[in-house]
Amino acid sequence: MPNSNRLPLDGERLLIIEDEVLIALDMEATLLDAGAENVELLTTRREAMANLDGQGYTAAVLDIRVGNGTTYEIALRLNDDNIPFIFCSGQDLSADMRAKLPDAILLRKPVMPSDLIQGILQAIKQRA
Amino acid sequence: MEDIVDPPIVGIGASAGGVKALQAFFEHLPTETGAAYVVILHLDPEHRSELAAILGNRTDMPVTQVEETTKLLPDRVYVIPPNRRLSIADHSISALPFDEPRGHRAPIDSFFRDLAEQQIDSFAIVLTGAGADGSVGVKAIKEAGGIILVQDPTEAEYASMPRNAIATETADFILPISEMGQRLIDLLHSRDQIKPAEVREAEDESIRRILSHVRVRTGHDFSQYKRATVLRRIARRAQIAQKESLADYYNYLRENVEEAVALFGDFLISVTTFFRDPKSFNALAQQVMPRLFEGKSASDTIRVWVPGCATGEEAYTIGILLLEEASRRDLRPEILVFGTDLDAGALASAREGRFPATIEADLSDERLRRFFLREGDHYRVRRELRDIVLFASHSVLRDPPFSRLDLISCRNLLIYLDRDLQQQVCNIFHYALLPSGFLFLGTSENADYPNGSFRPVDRDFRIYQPVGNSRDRRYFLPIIMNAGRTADHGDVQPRRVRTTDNISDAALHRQMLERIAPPSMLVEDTHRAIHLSDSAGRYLQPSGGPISIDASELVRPELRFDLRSALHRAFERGEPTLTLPIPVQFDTSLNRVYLHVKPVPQEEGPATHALVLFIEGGPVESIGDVPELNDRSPGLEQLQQLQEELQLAQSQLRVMREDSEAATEELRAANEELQSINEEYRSTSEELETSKEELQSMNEELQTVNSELKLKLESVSRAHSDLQNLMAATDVGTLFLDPSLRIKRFTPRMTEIFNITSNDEGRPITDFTHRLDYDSLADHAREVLRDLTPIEHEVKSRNDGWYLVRMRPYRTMDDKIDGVVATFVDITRRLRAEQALRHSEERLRQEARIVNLSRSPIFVWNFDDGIIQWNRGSEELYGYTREEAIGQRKEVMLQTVVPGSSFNAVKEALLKNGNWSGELQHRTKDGRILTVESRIEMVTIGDCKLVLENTFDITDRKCWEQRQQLLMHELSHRVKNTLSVVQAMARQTMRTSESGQDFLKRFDGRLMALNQAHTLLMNSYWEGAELGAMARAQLKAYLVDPNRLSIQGEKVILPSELATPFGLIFHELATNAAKYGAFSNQKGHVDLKWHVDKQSEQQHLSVTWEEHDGPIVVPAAKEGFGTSLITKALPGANVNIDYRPQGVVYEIELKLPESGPNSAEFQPLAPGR
Repeated sequence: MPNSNRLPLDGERLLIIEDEVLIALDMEATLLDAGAENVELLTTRREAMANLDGQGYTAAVLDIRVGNGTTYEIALRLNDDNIPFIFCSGQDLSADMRAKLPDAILLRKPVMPSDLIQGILQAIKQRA
Repeated sequence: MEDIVDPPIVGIGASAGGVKALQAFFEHLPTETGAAYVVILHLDPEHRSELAAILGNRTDMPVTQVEETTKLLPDRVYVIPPNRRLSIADHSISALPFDEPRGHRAPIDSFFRDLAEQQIDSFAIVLTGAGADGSVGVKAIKEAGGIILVQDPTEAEYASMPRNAIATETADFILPISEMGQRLIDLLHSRDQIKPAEVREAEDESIRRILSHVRVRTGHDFSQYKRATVLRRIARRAQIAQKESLADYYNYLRENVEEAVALFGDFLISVTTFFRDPKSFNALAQQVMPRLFEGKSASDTIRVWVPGCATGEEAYTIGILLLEEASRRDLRPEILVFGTDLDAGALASAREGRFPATIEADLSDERLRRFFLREGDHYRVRRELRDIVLFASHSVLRDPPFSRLDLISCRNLLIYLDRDLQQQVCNIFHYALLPSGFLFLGTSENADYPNGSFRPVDRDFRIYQPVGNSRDRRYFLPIIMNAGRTADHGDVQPRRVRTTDNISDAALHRQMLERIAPPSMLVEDTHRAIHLSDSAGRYLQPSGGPISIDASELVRPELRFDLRSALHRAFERGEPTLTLPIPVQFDTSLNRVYLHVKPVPQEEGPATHALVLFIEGGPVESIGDVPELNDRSPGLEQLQQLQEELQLAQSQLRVMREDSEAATEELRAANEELQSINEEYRSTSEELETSKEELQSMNEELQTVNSELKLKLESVSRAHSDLQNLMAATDVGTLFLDPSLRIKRFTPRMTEIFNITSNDEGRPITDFTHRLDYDSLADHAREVLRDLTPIEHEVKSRNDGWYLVRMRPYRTMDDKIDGVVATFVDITRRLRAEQALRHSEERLRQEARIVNLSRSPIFVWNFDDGIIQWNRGSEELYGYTREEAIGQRKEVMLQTVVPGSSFNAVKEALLKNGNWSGELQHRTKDGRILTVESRIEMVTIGDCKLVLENTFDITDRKCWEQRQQLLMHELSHRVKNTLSVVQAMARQTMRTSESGQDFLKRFDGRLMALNQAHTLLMNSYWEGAELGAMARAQLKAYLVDPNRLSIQGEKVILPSELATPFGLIFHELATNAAKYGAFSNQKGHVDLKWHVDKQSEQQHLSVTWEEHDGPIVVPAAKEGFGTSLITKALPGANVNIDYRPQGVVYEIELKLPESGPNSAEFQPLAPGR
């Protein structure tokens, strides 16, 4: 839903990895409202790993625990590919991951829509 | 007999062992003896004396301790108080403090000396004692006429005091105590018989006889000794001999040879001490001694004579003063002190120079040190002093005196002599002294008799110097020599010089003859004048020069020539001569004198004496009448006379020469004799030297033996004291019995068992009662003696104690059996302890059983080694049986792990604190790792460290804790997630709601759907939900009418991540149907079907929602939230919507997860499963 006004996430291509559908749908709506050009919703890790390369994501929102596992492997891939991302979860990063990704931004659920947008923008800024 | 009031006094001295001796003495003494007894004992000055009380038990006489001056009464006993000496004066006795320090005191001597000064009847008794106290005192008493009794030293407990008293040679009786009383009574009785004061003139004859008897026996004449002294001494001897009269005694004296010697000894008794009368000696030292040394060179000699020196004290005293004076001067002339006495015994002891220790009282410490050498109870004069004093047997009256003396000290002789003899002796002293010499007399004497021959230097202290020149002195010598000669020849004619009142007829005749006859002179053959008649002095005129007693030198010069020739003729030829008249110039007139010399006829041989008669004729009328002496022209007669005289002189000369030759010959012989004697002396001296060396070597040997003995004695006494201490210290009752079971010795503990005291040693043990139930004690002791094997018994005592009695034979050092040693060890406590031990062992066993059966794992291991106890609880927990566990190292068998520490740290903590508690991990026999709470305690028993460990399995509790923590995390996560979901749901519902009412209705519906799904999941503990149940729960409202909704499908369990979306999807489908589809009219119905395709490994689920007979389907212009939820809610699902006109059909296909519904996501919940 293009908007003539300049929106915060104008033109961004975003990836959401969240196994809770209701939350994922809400985030998608929020991000699209904030001007994102495209939002991809993925609910399983397997999907995510298969759909990372060549999609042109400009940023990602990751739940930590997805299905039976975690999104740490994905986060490390994103980090290697220099794609900005934030964590959005009810739990903490493991100590191991905190050490590997000292600058990673973590938003605690439940998240206010404005916080989510700000978090993404900050992550993009870090990588700029 | 007049003073019955004053009793005789018996002084009794005793020391060590004296109390017993005194008791025995008084027991043997009757009560009424008439004497007063004074007892002097050496008492401890610090303690009260019980002596009076003790002696009071043995005699009926009153016994008093002298406290103040008391008059002495007969038949009483007076006892010395402690720390006092007794003094007696005027029949009163008093106790005075000592002048000397302790250790130098001699109370017995002191009292005896006092007693002697009283000049009353006294007896001295010396009993047992150590030391020499009393020995000086008995001499004093004896001198004063007292009688000395001494206890027989062989009987005395301590023989030293009696021995020393006997050594003074004054003891009259040496008796055992039992005989002493009777002897004393006899003596007291006989004392009444002869009293010196009562000797009548009539008895003079007896005394004279006695004295002449003594003179015959001993060669010493005491007739001129003081009568009182002589009488006292004779009376004393008579008393001792128990003779009742002097006549009886005289007979006794004649019959007993020894008695004369004893009486002689008594006559000579004299008492001297060192520095007797110290003030006098002080005066002597200050006034005389320095002057003796004046003008003397080293080669000169100071000569001193001490006549009547007795045992030498006076001579040594003078010697000490001289040596002290000499040491003050640089020059030391030779010093010679002659001590002379008649008494050979006294001289012998003087020569020995050994004096009793009691002389300490008379000599200063300094003098004692310098001049004496301590030898046990005695002092010996040092060599320095001994060498200058010479002792010789010599009679002042009989023997020629010493001459050229510087000092004569005669303090103890003159008082015994009568006045005439005193005068003679003074003359002798006058002769013997140098003009510069001194005479030192006793305090009661003086030298005033020969008037003017001595002048006092110090009258108070009786120091005199001779006056007159040597010629005057020589004048007296012939007389003395004469007197001496008389005695020498044993001439019976006595007392020539003495004038006596009893003139016999013969003497009267002689006097008359002398008075009538012409003056005469008796001359002996050596021409010496021996005797002069009363009137002969007229014809004498001694010539100048040295005094001579040659008759021809003595007469007037005119008579000399004629007398010489006449005497010559008389002795050479035995012819009498009557000279021509010789004119002699007397004071006023010139008279003629005829000399008639007549030899006294002898029965044979030449005459030894001649009488010279001086016959005086008339005066010479004219010079011509008689030849003038100074006539220058001698007449013929005179010439003839001269020739005769010459011849006479020549013949005289010849005789003289012959005499001289003979004398030379004699001298030569004497010289030879002397030489031979000298040789003898030398050889004797060598022999003496040899025997001295022998003595020395023997002495050394003795010393060696002595020191060995001393060492041995020391070790014996040390062993003895060890034994004493052991006996006193030991806690074990020990009893030594001899072979007849008499008590030899026992330790103090024995008195607790037997009723014995230390006085019971020597009594049979069977006489005593004891507190043991042990009647066979004596039998057992005998058994031990018989079999020589030790016996041991535990014996009960009557006060509930127990004793271990051991008896073994007593073996002497040389392995003889000499009795039995019994020891009594109190084992009451040991037995009680044993009992208590048994009790506690029993209890311990009980407790051990309880521990063993306990379900709680308890085991014991040795700190340095393996397990030693392993109870049932341990077997159950760890799976190892007791047999397997014991001996194994606990940490190896159980593979102990201490979380956060190490097993070694635990062990260190045990060593430090003795206990430890905490968590451990142990491994069971089947390999399980258990976490246990362990409580460990270490007990050290001896050198074995036992560790008790009690473990408590907490593995399950640990699991639960972990699981709970996980759950908490999960819950938190889910709540947050759920809230996010609700948030998202609210926001999405909001987006598509037309109004608040609409939102509320939709939101409620969705929330309820979510809740339904959760409820189902909750029922399965979030493990999954059954698809049919889920559908029925969501579509409950439409199931009321089976025509509207049919549900068909097998049982499919959905995992939780699928269950919730399905719930929501069913809700949205029903909502959509109710709004637009089959449920919105009255006739429409829905078919819900599913099935699972199990072709491959993957389970494939197909769900179909098919609506029928609803309103005509119009596809929605815009996809609402509900629809996008349906299509997107299931990840990986394929959702197909077919809008058929008769009704919408939803087809959902998806793969069920491989692990199936049971592979839940909560893996940690069941670890190890």
